[in-house]
Amino acid sequence: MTTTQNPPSTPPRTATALVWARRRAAAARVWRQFATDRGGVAGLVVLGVIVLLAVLAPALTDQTGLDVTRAPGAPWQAPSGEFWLGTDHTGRSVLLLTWWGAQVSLLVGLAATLLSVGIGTVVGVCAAHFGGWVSSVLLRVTDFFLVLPSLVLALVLSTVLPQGLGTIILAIGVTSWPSTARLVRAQTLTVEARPYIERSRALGGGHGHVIGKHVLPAVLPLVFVNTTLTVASAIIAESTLSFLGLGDPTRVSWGSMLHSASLHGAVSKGAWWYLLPPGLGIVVVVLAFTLCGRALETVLNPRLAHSAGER
Amino acid sequence: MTDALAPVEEALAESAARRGRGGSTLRYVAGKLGGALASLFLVVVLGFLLFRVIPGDPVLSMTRGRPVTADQQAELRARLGVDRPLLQQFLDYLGRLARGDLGTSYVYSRPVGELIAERLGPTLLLVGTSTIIAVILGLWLGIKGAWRRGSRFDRVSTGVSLTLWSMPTFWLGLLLMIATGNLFPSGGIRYPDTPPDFLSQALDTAHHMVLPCLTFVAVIYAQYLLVMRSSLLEEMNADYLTTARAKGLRDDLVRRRHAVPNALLPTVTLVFLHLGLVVSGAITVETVFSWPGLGLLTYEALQGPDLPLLQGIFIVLTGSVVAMNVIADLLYRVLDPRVRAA
Amino acid sequence: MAEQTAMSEPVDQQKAAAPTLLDVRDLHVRYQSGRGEVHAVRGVDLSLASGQTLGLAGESGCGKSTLAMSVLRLLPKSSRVDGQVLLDGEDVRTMSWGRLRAVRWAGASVVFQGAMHALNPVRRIGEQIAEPLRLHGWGGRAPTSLSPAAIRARVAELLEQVELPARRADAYPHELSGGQKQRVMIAMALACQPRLVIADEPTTALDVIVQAQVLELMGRLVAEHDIGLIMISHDLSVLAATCQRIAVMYRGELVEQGPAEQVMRQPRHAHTQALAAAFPVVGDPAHRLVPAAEPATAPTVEPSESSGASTRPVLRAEDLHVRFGGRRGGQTHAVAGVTLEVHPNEIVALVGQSGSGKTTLARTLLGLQQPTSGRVYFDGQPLPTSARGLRDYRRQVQLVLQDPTSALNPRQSVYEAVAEGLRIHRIGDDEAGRVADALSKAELRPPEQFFSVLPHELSGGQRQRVVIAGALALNPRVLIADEPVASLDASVRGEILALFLRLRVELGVAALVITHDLGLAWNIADRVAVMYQGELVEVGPVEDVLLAPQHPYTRSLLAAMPNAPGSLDEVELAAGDAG
Repeated sequence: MTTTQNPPSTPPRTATALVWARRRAAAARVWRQFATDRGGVAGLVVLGVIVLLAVLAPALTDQTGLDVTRAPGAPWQAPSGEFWLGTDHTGRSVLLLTWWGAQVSLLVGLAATLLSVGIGTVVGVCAAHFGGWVSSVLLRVTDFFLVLPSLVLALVLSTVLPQGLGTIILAIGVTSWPSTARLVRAQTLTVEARPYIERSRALGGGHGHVIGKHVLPAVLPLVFVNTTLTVASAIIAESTLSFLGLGDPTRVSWGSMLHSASLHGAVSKGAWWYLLPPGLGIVVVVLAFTLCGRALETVLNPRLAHSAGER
Repeated sequence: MTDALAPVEEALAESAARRGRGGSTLRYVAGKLGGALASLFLVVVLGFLLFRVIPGDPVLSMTRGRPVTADQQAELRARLGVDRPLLQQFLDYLGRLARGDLGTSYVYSRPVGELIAERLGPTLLLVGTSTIIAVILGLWLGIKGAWRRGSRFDRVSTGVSLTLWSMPTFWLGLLLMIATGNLFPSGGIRYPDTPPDFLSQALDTAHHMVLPCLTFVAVIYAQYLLVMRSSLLEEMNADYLTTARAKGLRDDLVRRRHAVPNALLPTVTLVFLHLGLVVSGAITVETVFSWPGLGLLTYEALQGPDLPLLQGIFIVLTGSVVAMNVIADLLYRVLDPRVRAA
Repeated sequence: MAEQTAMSEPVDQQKAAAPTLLDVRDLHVRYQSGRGEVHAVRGVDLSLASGQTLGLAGESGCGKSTLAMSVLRLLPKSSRVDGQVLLDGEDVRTMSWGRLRAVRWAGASVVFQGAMHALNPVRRIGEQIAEPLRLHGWGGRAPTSLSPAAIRARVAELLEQVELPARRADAYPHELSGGQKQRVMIAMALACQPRLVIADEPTTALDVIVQAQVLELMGRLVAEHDIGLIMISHDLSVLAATCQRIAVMYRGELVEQGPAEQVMRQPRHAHTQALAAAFPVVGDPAHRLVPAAEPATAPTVEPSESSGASTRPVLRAEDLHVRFGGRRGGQTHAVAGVTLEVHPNEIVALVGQSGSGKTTLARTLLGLQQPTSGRVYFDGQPLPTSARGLRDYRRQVQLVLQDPTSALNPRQSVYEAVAEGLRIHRIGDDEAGRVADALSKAELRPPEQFFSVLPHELSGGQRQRVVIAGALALNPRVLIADEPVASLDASVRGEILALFLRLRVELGVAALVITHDLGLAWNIADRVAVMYQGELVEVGPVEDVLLAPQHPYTRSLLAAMPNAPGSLDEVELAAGDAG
């Protein structure tokens, strides 16, 4: 803040350099403020570590341990020196399963979020910008889907479509966009009510110019914040769908681990080591995304009230 | 001549107010009900699309993973009527729905409507009790947190609620079951050998309900807490609170008379808007604790998959959420005088 | 009035001990903010005897509201107050909470700015007026002895005092107009018969005529009930109309204090002079900035003789109508048959109250709003309707908006803001040169220094110059300026007006200036058009219209100006008629 008070003595000469210098300064400002939020930084660090581990899983571990027919240990073993987190009902290492499960959970969470935020942003901007019947139809549709219990819709979708990762991503993505659309629409309306949009129109700017130069740059930070919060919900949704037995049967995810744990009686056997790690994985990742999102929210949109998104 | 000119603004405001009080209430209610009917029709259409159009051949997804001969499939197609043209199917479907016929369950071989009606009671009991507890707890903690923003209480309560919010409902349920051991029954709604008198039945039900209810509350109260907290924080910057303080009101009166009632208004809408969360909570909690309600029925329908049953549940669940939201809209109009005039 | 004597009894004993009602001694207020300490009030001494009226003037951020709020200890917790604030001889700073709550409203009450948000939006105004009555009682009556009927009667009486019908007690704030809400605030402030009323910008955001009525009402009630009044405003003329003395604050300090007339007419401090100049006296040649004769420029053009014969108008609206259809069948006739011309090298002022349709007219002239019927001609050609034709037209006619802070995208640097028009119109050659040129025409020099600056780093006046530069970059022939100085501080107002005049002289840019402020028209316009309920009721050279108004509406506007000679009497008359 303090460095920008005075105009720099040697201004950049070209317009592009000017724009980039401004963006760099803005990014640095955001980062400096973000860094003051301890929860947000902690969330970011945790996420970094988990993503790194998930990506490096094939390099650091032996995939054959996931094969039920080649399980290395005896079933239902409590944590020991050999299996730090014990074994599951087939004798596979829970640690290995949890490690690989991170991959699918993160992948589904991120992909579904991209789909959902993409639909939501397009619908939201269009509903606010164009007005008239386009806007009212989009708004009606958004409100309709906003009210629907998204998990029920996702359940039905993943039942009637062929099982697999793609179905899960689709089911979560196409059922969770309305809140993003609502948010983007509200923000677009706020921006479009500003006189600088009127000025831009008076200068001769058309739809493309107004949306591209003014609306999107103002809306995207919010969309970014929303993305981090939506990832959290998407990961929970994935685990719920998998827990109900709708996941990809060929891949291990945290949700599917909890599904088989509960199916094979981990509770009655008291096998807490089978239940705890995947659940903790979900909690830690979701919490980390939420903390990051809330910290970003205070930086990028201090006036927006904190609210957790819908699951 | 000023008298002729200046009150224009005032007259306008007054006529707007009159309009708000009078005829538009009926129009508002009619508009809302019309919108609700349109939404319900959309739900019905969506039910058809999801179960008859998207899957292509519903018989294939119904018999997935089971050894079924081509003859059996053809017979099933004829029974479900899926061999007829799509439009004809849609009209048949509408006709049956209009008669209140939701079809016949494939697994139970009983009318879907009957199955749903049977399971409605336990769900309402569990969801109702938990939601009331969660709303009261969430609003109370949210108000306390916002009023003492940044205090240790606020930070702890926000942190705890965020952590609980980050948990998958079913996982929390499983953990509670392991942690409490044999203290509470691990499933169902009543032991079969409980004496049939009302008191014993009620006590047994309550005993069975402790864990599901606890899980439910833990996961959904955070939502209400966060909404109430941020809504109150926003109100707390309002100028009229300064007016109230300047009038000499005690701090707790400023809060009770002015800040909280106003902050409650947006919270009411959000509580209803997030009913979907309650529904998804019901499905997972009932599955974990084998609570014989609609949620468990949903889970059972998924396992088949029993498509007619699932379709019936879909229509009933989404339909009731839509209806609840209309009630919320109308309620809001009664609560907030500003909306009455708008 | 019977209750007046009842009121003065309990306070008489205190009066003997302390003759002054309010005594502020060496007051300092410091805020802790994110960017360190802000020293908002720096050593202010002030005193007010009971029944006296004092105006506190200053620009936004000068500390005047902070000073006023410290009297009732209504400042945020992060503030630190040093010095003494003696209310009836008792230091507010050291009062216990209980004593402070008893003093609040009963001893001193506040009329807040913009009653819009100062009233609780979801409670009836009657309840809100009754609230302090139940808390403090009034006129020596203890709150415990009050029956609901007595309180209802008192609320009705208070509403009557502010000239509102008693049945309005059942209304919610949003059902009232701005003027009515301000009256409710005044009724509320008088409820417990305080000895001091603090009015914080009580008439900001009100129309001139409503403002005059509210001011008259406040002045009368304060005098009738022998209440001490501190009125805060950025508008020196408003204070001069209501207060006996005026104190001027600048950067947290009192720079001038004296009788209202003297401060207004012979300001000594430079800052007071700037403030006073911002509220010109219509008819005073010293405030007419337009050069009487224009030898240097366009000798062939005689804009003041605008019968239309000497030059072809550059912009002409012919029988323009704009209607907005309400969804419930109600229609608003925002512009009802307006014919208006703007000639080259001429400044026309379009004057009217809010809601008179003047902004809709401007939007229609710019092609941002489709007229229901009628035509707009530019250079004799009807306005194109195609998107492309309109885009070309907009190179010629440019818009300058009221609030420069919101008229600039906060994320874009000055360079991008000025270059926006060039990019839309794909004028690619020497963009940087054109931007620099436009900035220096708007007197932001050296222009390169401002290229990478973001709007929030500029002052309000500089921002408005950037907006003007953005318009100038396209070399327009007409500027349409919507309240170009209304949201600027008084001291920069003159500079921006001078810039408009200079642009006309040096570049020949004609301007249509839309304003609610007749003084602004007197300052810079050649011709003035008065708009009322969608119609132009009077058009003509400034001297003719403002010095010898023909239409009753123009006369009432002039009479409502707080510093118009003898204006108060006329408004009082008018208000009397209304009541």
